Amino acid sequence: MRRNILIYLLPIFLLSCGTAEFSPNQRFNSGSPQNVNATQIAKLAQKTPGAVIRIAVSSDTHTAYDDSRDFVKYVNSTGGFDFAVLNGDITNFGLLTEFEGIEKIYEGLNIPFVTVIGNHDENAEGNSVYQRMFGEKNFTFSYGGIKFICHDTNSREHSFDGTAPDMDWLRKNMVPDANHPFLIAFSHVPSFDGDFDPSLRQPYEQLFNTTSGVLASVHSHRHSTDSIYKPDSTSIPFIVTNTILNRTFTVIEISNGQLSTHPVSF
Amino acid sequence: MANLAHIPLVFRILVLLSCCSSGLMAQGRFVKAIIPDQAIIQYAGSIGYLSAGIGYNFFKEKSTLSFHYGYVPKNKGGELNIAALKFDYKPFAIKIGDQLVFHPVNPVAFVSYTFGQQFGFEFDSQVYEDGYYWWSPALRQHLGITSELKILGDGSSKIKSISLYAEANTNDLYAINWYHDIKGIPFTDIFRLGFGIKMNF
Repeated sequence: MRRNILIYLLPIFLLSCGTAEFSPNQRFNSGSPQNVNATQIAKLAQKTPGAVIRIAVSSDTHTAYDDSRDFVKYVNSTGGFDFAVLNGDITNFGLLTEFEGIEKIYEGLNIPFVTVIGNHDENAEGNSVYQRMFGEKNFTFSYGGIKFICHDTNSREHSFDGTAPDMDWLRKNMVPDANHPFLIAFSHVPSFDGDFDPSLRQPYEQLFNTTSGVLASVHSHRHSTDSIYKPDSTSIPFIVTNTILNRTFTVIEISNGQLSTHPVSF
Repeated sequence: MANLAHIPLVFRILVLLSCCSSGLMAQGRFVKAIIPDQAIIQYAGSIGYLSAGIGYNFFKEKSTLSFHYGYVPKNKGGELNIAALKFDYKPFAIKIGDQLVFHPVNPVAFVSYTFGQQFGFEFDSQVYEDGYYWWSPALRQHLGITSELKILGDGSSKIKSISLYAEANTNDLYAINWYHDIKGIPFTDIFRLGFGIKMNF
C-alpha cells in the first residue's frame, strides 16, 4: 500500500511543478516580458546623472542562473552604479526559457539594465525571442551627455552576408550632438575576432576611430580576462570584458569625458 | 518495370506485398497490422499547441509507439511545425471498479523535429567549423513521465476505451542547462506539461 501511495504521488508532484509548453522553440508564451530595453531605458531617463557615471558591464551569462543571481546581489548591495549592461550571450541555445530565466534575475537589479544580443542568442528562434522580449537589435539611448550605441556584431550568425554589423545604421547613429558630445558602443563580438565579418572590420574600426567623441567600444564573447585593443594612439580603446561564468564583471567610469575601467570579481 | 513509376508509391507497395504474400489471408493480416491501435490528440507537451497522432501497442499493451504531428500557430508563439516519435511503457495498471484502469507512472521517451529554415538538423558547415555549436537546432530528445486514466467502453462501439493523460517532459538542452547549473535551476523547473486524449480501437 505504501508503494502505491508513492506511485500516485510522483506524477502529482511532477505535474504540479511544471507549466504547459507548446515547443522549446516557441517565440513567446502568455507570460513572456516585452519591450524590456525600452522600459529599462525609460527608468534610466528618470535618474539624475552625477559628475561620475558608473556602469556595471556584465556579459555571457549563458543561462547560469546561480552566478547571475550572485552578480545581481553584489551590484545591489554595493550600490553606486547608474545602470547595468548585459552584453550578449544571455543564453546557450537561443531558447525562450533561457531568455526568460536570465531576464527575471536581472529584473531583480535595483538599477536599470540594458541587454545586447550575442551570437548564442541568435540560434533557432532566438532572434525573434530577443526582439519581442527586449526590442530592436540595434538601438541607442543616452545618459549624462553620452550616447550609447548598442548593436549586433554577430556576423557568423548572419553567415557573413555583410548585414551584421549594419554599417548604414551605424553611420546614421554614430553621430554626437551638442547635448551628447560623447559616444560609447556596446556589442558582443569584437571586430578583431574570427566571428566578426572580415570584410567589415576595416570600415567598422575606421568609423569608430574617425568619429569624434567616441570614448570606447565595449565587447565580450571571449570569456577571458579584460583586455584593451588599441593598436595606435589614434585608435579608440576596444575593450573586451569577462564573463559572468567567471564571476567577474567590469566597472566603467566616465568623468569629464575620460573613461576608465576595472574588473570586479564577486 | 518502367511504367510502374507512374503508379503511386503506396499502391505499388501494396501490390508488391500482396504478390509476395500467399493471397488474401496475408493481405488481411497486413491491413490489420497497419491500422493503428489508437488515435491521439494532445495539447502542449512541447510538440505543438495541438498535435495529432496514431499509436501502436506492444508487449500486451504495456508499451506504445506513436507518431505525432504538431502545430504552434503564430499567436501562440509560432509558427512552428513539429513531428514527434514517442515510446512509452506502462509498468503499473490499477483497476478501479469495472470501468477504470489507472496507469499512475509511465516513463516516456520521444524525439521531436522542428521544421523550417531556422532549424537545420546540423548547423551550416559552410559557416561553422565542426563542433562550434555541437547541438542540433531541429532535433530534440525528450524524457518524461505520464499518468494515464483509461475509461473502458461497454464493447458496443469501435472505440474500445478512451484514455486521458498528463505528461511532464524535459529535453536534452534543458537537462544540459540544469546539469551545468544544479545550484541555480531546481530539477522540477526543467519539466514541461502536456495533456492528451487517446481513443483506443
